Amino acid sequence: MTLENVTLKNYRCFREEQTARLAPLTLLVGENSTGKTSFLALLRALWDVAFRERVPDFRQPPYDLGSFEDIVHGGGAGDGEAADSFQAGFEYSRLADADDEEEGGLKEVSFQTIFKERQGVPYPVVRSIAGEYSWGTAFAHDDGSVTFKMGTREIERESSVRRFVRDDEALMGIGQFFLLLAFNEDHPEQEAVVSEASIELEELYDLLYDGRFRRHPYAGAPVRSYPRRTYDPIRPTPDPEGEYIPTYLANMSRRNPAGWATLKSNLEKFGRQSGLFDEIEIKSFGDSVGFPFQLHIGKRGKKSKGGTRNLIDVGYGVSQALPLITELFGPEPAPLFLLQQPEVHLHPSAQAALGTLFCSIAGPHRQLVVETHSDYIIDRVLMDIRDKTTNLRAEDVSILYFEPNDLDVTIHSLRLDDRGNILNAPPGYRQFFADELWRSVGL
Amino acid sequence: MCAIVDANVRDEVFGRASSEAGKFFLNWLQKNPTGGRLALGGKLRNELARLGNFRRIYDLLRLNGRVVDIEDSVVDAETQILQARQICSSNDTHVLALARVSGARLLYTNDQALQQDFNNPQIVANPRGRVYTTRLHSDVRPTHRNLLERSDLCAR
Repeated sequence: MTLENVTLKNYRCFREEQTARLAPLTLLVGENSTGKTSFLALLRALWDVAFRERVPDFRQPPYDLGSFEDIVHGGGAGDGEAADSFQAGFEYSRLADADDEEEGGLKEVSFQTIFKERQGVPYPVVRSIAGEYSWGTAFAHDDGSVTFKMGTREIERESSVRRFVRDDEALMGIGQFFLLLAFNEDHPEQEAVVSEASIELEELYDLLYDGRFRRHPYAGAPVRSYPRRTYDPIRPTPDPEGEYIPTYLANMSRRNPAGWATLKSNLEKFGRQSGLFDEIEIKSFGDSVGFPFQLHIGKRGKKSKGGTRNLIDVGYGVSQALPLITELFGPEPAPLFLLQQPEVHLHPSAQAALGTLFCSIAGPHRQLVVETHSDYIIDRVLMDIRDKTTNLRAEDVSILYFEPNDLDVTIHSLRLDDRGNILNAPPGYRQFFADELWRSVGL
Repeated sequence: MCAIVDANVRDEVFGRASSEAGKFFLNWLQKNPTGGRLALGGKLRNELARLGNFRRIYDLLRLNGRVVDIEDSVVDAETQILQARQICSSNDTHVLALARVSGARLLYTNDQALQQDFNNPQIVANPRGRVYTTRLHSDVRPTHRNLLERSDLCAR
């Protein structure tokens, strides 16, 4: 299952309604301040509204988009008239993997929402979900009540139910409305609608309550935490900078030797491919979880010699890459990774290795959306598609080019062919790089 | 639109000996709004790659989405088919084969025999091939501009 075809309108620098194609691996490219990070923040917000049924927090790290006025198009800048709402949504579909094929039935679902200002922040006042046959829309009113309507595409009838919500952060689940309508004996006409759409609605309900989607996406920060010589164990609560990662690794090495062996093996495999390190070790100052510990990194010479050194004594790139690759290889990886500039502090060879890593692990159960300025990552992805070095196919990759146009931004969804050729690049795509090279070679 | 650059003009397109029409062509390749791209594959890949500048420019064009890269074996196989038919007067069958498999219908060359073959509908058709040449004029002429403004010179 992957998110596809994200639509947005009047959000940040995106005034016009437009659609961006997401794939198992999506690369966001473009100049600074063209809305790439805002796009990542929107994906997390949509995830929270659609799957976790929470009011999204646009200021939750690693993003801070400010108040509603800062987020709606034309709001904060004061140039022109600000919109009073912004819209966003996405489609998602079941991909051909074994588990989903067994479920059969529903293949595509679309989710749309409209945000308006409520207490200074964006609130999803309209949430709409639609399958191939039926639809349901929840309307949040200022008095705290929520109205829900549903119907089918063919019979054009609506049934509604009204409930009050007291929790400011929780949204009344659309699935709950399905149940309320299904058992509402006072309104037989509602039962008729429910009955006609029942097969698809049951699948919608299952989809909404899929445990996989209840989980948080992983949203990584562009700068990760500083390495330390010795770590005091902390509560390993995930954070965008990866502050908790050393403790997480130490705990796993003590409590789950089998899991640690697998993770260690994967980390070291990537370490070798990227040239960052050959070995990773936890050196504890005691026998239990509460004792301080150190993270040691081994980099062997050509004759396979050399011991390990403290993480803080090796290149900064290792400590910056470690949180990211640990998350990617973790035993229970997030279903959606939102990564900002994972190439920071990495040598081009390690950046290229990251490209291959992304190709290796992106898929229906681990969707990656990567904001990057690295040609090495992009080029490696193109080559891996061309050379078929991983299972990722050309259609599993989308490159989103954020093109500035005065104060607005247009998102171009670029596709690849099976030779790794980029298709449908617009005229201005990477013009800066061409100008630099023309000058460099004297043309 | 896809275009092919013959090895005999590589210096005037990608090298320091660039002509005005060669520069015009290269700028079109990067900036054109019609989605024009450079087709490459087979023996021509090696012929062009002998020019150091070309390798750098090609890498950039590939990242910029301005390339149709065809697998060498596909071009080589088509070259053998063309050679077996014995209808080509030029010795650049690999260039004609590249046009056939990539769909490119614009060729930049100063080789007259190759030009004749490229215009031969028995070899390159649907649509017919057109040639961009500086054999007579190295400055930018209306014929050059007209060719690069077309959007129909592609079989795909």
